[in-house]
Amino acid sequence: MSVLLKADGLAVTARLAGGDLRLLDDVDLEIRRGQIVGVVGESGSGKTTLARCVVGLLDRNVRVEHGSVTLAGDVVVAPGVDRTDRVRGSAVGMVFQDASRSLNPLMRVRTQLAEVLRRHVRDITRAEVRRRSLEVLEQMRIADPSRVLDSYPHQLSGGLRQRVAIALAVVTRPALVIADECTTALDVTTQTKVVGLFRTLVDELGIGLLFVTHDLMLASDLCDRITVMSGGRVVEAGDAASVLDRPQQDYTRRLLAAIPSWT
Amino acid sequence: MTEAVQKGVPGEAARRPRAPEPETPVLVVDDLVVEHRDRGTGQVFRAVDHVSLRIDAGESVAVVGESGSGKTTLAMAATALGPRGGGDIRLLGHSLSEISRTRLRRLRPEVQVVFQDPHGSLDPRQSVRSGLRELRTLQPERTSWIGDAELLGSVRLAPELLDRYPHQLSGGQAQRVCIARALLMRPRLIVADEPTSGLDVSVQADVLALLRQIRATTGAALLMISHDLAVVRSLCDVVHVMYRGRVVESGPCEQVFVTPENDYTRELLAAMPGARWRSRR
Repeated sequence: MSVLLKADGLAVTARLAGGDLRLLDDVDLEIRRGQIVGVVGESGSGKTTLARCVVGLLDRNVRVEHGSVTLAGDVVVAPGVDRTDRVRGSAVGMVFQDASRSLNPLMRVRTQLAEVLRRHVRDITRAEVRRRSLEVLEQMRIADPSRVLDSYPHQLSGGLRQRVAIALAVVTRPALVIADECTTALDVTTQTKVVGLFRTLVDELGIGLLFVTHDLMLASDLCDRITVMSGGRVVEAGDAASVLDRPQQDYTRRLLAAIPSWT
Repeated sequence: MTEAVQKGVPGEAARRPRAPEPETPVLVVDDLVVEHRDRGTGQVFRAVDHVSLRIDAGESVAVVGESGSGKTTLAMAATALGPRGGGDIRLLGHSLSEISRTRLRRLRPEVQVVFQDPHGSLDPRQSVRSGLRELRTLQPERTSWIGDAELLGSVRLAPELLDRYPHQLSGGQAQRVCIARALLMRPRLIVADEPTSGLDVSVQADVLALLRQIRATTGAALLMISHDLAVVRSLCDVVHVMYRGRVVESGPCEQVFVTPENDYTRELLAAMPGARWRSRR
């Protein structure tokens, strides 16, 4: 499996009125094709900053100080370098927590999918747009894809909206998908379906998935590898089962101990 | 009122001299029906559909279910904070369909609610101290049993936080302030609606430990609304599983979670994250 995404010694700083604040400090991360890598941590750990840095969505006052992000061998982020606009939405898809905020409330799902396809797939025909829109909703295991295509976001349930948001992220067949707390607002039963869907997508399409979550248990169900973050640093990283079964760091042990026991 | 001014953490001091008779349940919900009418279309949606439950003094009862199952509507109706349709609710022995407004007002402090979003429950323009002062003005006798610093200590917050405003508190700190405000009233029933859903796991563990301690020391009953089965199992005696407005299964947590009888309960249990990790332990 070739390395798809590589973050190497990434250091990111925010300029605030009171001085500089280090958001990421010497962060390494690697994602291969067909792999789901979970980044877990509590609020303020830097997990979202890492996800946003990879796609060049950092705030204006935040900048990369050291290190780099490489996508399929090409440097896309480094100090003073931001080539993410070439890959964002095409080679890299993104899904965030609040699906309704990534969907345009004034457009039918059909129009939004078409817009994304036309922007990223050169010379795509109308027939091809129709075919791929329908196909991607079927991949999302949406039972009634034509109804969903004709719907506005507010006409869909939260679970369906999130699946449409994922569809928008993967319709361009990106090599890498970044999902930031994208199931947090969903009911557990819906969460299970969405998470299962990710596993299938990764296995079927051979994409890489960066799955950011505060939920260690969810990460343990879904991820192949887990990176635990705290205070902007990587505390521990490795194979999911070994990180959770034989944590090497106190912080990871404390996180696991805080989970209510189930017996 | 002859109550002496009592001091101390919620321990002996918090025990109520006017505790209900052991046989009087704190809450009895009998065949409750609550319907919401859509103002636009006029369509009626039955949020709570013939639900009955009972909470005895000191008991800890959970209502679980996913969004839209009616669990919050049930809790709000049961505490006279939300609409109530058919059926009856007896709060500390008083039927809410017969109770006078004056008596209901006097009953309110006995029931305290802790919501999911602590910052939404606190006045952003008031410091913690000034918020507590307001409660004390409203209920001088009921709240005189404990000082501000000591009250904050009982939820494991430093007294320095008294002068903070809500935006200067972390989510966990703000939720503890909400719990402290509830405790100040020495309630017989605490309703907690997803009290730890917005908190980090380590903070959640602290808040759960706090609720457990409050239960043990004050004898207050707890009605916990949650979608998190692990949280419920770690805190509650009895669980009611709601689905589309109905209670589909009820019983002691151990029984319902170990030998579920309803398909929806099984589905909820199967959807709990962490099955892989737990199975390896």
